[in-house]
Amino acid sequence: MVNKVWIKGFRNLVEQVVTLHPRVTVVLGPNNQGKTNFLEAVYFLMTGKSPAKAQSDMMVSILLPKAQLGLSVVGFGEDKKLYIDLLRDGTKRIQWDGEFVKTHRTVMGVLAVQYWSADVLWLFQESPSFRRDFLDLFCERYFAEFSGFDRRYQSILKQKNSLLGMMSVDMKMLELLNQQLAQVGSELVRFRNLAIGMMMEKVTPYLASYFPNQGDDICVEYAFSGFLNGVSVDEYGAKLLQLLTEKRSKEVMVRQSLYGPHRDDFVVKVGDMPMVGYYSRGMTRIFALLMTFSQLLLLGSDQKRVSVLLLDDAFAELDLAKKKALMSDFSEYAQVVYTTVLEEDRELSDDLSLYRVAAGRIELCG
Amino acid sequence: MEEQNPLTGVIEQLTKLPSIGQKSAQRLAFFFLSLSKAEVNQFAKILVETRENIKYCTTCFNISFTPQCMVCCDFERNQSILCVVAQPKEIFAIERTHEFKGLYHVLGGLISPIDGMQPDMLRISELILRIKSGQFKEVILALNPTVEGETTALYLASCLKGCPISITKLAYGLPVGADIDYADDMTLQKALSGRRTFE
Repeated sequence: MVNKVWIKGFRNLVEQVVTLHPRVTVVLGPNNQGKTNFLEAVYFLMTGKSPAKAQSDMMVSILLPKAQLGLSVVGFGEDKKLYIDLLRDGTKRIQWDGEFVKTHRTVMGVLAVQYWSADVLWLFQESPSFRRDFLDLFCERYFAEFSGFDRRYQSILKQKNSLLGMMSVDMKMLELLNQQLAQVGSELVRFRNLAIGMMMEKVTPYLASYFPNQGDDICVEYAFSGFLNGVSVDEYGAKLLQLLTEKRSKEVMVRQSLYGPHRDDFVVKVGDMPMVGYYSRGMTRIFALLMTFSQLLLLGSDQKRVSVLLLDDAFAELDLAKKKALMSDFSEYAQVVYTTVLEEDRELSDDLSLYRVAAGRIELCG
Repeated sequence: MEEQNPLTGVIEQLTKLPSIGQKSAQRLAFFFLSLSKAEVNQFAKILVETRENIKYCTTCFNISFTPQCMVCCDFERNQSILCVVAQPKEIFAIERTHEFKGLYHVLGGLISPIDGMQPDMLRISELILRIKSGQFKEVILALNPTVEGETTALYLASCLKGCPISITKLAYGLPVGADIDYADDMTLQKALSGRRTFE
C-alpha cells in the first residue's frame, strides 16, 4: 500500500506529508481549497501524467521553480520510495527505490492507479471518442502489444487522410492504405473486445447487488462503425476492407476516413435498451464506476500491484447507502482516496482516515 | 555600436546541417578556426567539387561521379538480383555488410501523401522498365518497416504482379547482440512470426 505522500510546490498545496489510510482516506473541504490538486499530485506521482492532461507549468506552484513529490510504498514485498522533481518546462527527474529512472515503466510495474472525477458519467454522455480513449488507455496498460498497433494505425490513418485531402486521389494508393488499415485495425478491435470481455467478467459479480433483478440483462456491446455490427472479431478485417472498398467514393467526396476502429464505440445495454435513459443518472454512474473499478482490478490486484483508486467527488448524486456499498467493495481490493464537499461522506466507511483541506493544507481530523 | 560576431555567417550556415543546433555550430566554427588555412581550403574544395560533380547513375540512380555507378559497372556482381532501396545512403549500409552481391535500384523516396510524395514522383516506372527487360529473377524490397515503407512495398508488389520474378522483402527481427527483454513488442512479434528452423 501507499503509506505516505510528500508534496512541495505542487499547485496551491503547501509543503506537507499526508499519511494514507490502508483502505479509505476521505479528504473533505469546500471548493477551491486543494482537494483535486492532492489527487492530481498522487496520480502524477504514480504515472508521471496529469489526469486532467494539465501542462507542467500549471502544476508547478507559482511561488517555487519546481514541484517536488514523493511517496513511500509498503507491503506486497515492496518497501520502496518514489520521488519526482517536476520543472516548469516539463522536465522530470524520477527516483525510484534509490535509482534514477527515465520513465514510469518500472514504477507502473508495482503501482496501479485509476482516477475518476464526477465526470465518470461522461462514459455515457460524451462522444464516442471519450469511450474509445477509456478503452484504449486500459488496453495500452494491459496489453503490451497494443501501443505498437495503435501507433501504426494512427500513422496509416494520417497518410490516408492526407491522400483523401488531395485534389486528385490515387485510387490504387487508397486501396493499399485501406488494406493496411483493415489489417492493423482488426488487431486493435481484437484487443478492445478482449478488454470489454475481461472488464465485464470483473463487473458481473457486483451487478446483482446494485441492479436487483436486472443484473443478468446488462451487457456491453462493441459498436463497429459503418454498420458492421454482428460481425465477429475474426472476420472484422476482411469485412472492414470490403466496406472501405465499397465506400471509397464517399470517403473521397468527404475527404475523410469514415470507417474503422477510430470511429468505433461501445454501448452499455439493459436487454435491448441502452442503459442511458433506461436507468437514472445515479444508476448509470454506479455502472460507470464499476467499469472503472474493473480496470483497476485487472491492472492492479490481479497482477499483485499496489492499487490506488482516486475518486474526486465521483459518488455525486448517489445516496449514502450506495456510496457506502461501493466504498466497501472498492476498498476490499484497492486503497481509496475520496475527495468530497459533503459532511455526510465522513460516514462512508467505519474504518477511514478523515482529512480536512483548507487553503492548500490537508490536516488529519480523525 | 555592438560588434558583430565574426563567426555569425559560418554558424548560420552550419545550423542548416541536420542535428546541428546553435551550440554545436559554434563549436564546429571554432574547430574550423583551429585548422590551418590549407586544411580549410581542402575541406571547402572537396565539398564544392563533390557537389558540382556528383551525378545520379543513369541505371540505378545511386550517386556517382560517372554516368554509371561502381555497382552497375561491376560485372562480377550477380546481375539477376535487384535490391530496391529508398535512398542511396541505404546502398552504403547494405554494402557494408558484404552480404549482397546483386544490383540496386534507388526509388528516391517513399510514398507518403503527408509529405506530398506520390508514386509518380518516385523512380517506379524506371524500375518496372528494368524488371521487364527480363534480366532479374529476384527483386528484394529493402524498404523501411514504416507505414511509408510498407505502402511503397505494397504498391511496388501490385505494379510487379504478373512479372515472372520472385519478390522478397527484408526480414524483421531482433538486432544482433540485443537483449530480448529490451526489444519492443512489435519487433519481438515480427521476430516470432518470422522465425526460422534452427540449423
